[in-house]
Amino acid sequence: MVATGEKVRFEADERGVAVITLARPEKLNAIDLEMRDLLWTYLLACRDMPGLRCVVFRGEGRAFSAGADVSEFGTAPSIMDARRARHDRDVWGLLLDLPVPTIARMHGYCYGAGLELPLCCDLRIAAESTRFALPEVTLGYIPSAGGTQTLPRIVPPGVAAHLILTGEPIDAAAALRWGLVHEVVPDDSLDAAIERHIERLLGGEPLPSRRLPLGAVWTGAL
Amino acid sequence: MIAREGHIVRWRPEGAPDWRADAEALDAYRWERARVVLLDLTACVPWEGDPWPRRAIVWLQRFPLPLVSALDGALGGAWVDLALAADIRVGSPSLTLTVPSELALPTVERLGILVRGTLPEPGKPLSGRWLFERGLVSALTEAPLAEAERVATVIASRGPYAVQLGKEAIWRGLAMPLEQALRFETDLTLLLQTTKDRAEGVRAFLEKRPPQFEGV
Repeated sequence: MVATGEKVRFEADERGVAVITLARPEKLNAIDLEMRDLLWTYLLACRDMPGLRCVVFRGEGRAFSAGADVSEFGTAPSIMDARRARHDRDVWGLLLDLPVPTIARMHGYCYGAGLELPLCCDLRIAAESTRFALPEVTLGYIPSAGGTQTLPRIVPPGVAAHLILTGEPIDAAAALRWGLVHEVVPDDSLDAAIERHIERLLGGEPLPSRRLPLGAVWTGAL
Repeated sequence: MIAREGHIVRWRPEGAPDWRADAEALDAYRWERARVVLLDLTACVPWEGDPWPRRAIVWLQRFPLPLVSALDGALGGAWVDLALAADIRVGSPSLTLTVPSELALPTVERLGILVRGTLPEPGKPLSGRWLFERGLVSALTEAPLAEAERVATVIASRGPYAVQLGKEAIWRGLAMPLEQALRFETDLTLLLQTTKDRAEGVRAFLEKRPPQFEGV
């Protein structure tokens, strides 16, 4: 099954491996509303596809994704319309709830939504030249694709605060140290590493870590 | 000592800081639209007197402005309450932090979140390297105060409301189930869409110039 010619491509092979490709390389795969809708459509297909065993996310060109398309910010008719749209088409919630393992193939820039999407995945494998950031505060904004909630559940919360409140990028070594990614490989070995993880999953090996904790991390006084 | 330099409030507690006086001063700077607090714990003498009460520690953990702390030397006793209440900790390799046997409950809770598991053994000095490897300290440098100042300056240049809501999203979100926390993030995001700073941030990005945030 293949869906091509769009800003997001979907392919599924006979093994039951689906590949969703962000395919807007001329804009470093900046995710616009059309791509968000396509992601929604393909994630629904993944949820309902019999025999699907694994989903891989990748980006075409120099970056996985440089984030959301800023030129579309503030184009919703009203705040309430924007809220309704987000809740009615909760792309990130759908991704988190997928019943099969998900893998992010990360390279180049993984900024903003280009990092938040992988944070919703079960496995994050990165090329060693990858840069990671949640730079939304530089726009007077906060991460809005789940990053303020997923990141502190994945890396130590103080580290998450450092990344979110400064907006500064980190390199792959730091990302590996803090548990942001599960493996860092040489740039030219990324596809082989992804294939190795796919085969492991298809062979029945468990994921190297549990999925994102869904409950409250604590129930303290704050 | 608490003093303001531009958007940054420098807080260097001395002796056993009077929590009422310090809280009053910090709160006043907050209302005067300071953007970040730099907590200097690089030259602390042993804490004298009683530790801060629970309500004061909770107040500090909840303080709306981001707290960036610089840690060095031997920190123990009630200094640990202050160090762990900060959002961001910058430490030195020579730092040691010793968790006291009697720790305020809000600090125990915060420590539990930060280490994600077994609490460090009380009375055992934890090195700067150990703290860094576990993410309790997010930057390790021979000059922690200079690096903390740099981090505070970076944060002060960002959208003030975005930074405050980002902090709120992180710490309050951790106390929620993920589904609820994601809705919380969405609502904070939409709230920010009503600010002039957010419009300025987007406009500046599209015009390829630095934003001029005003905290409005």
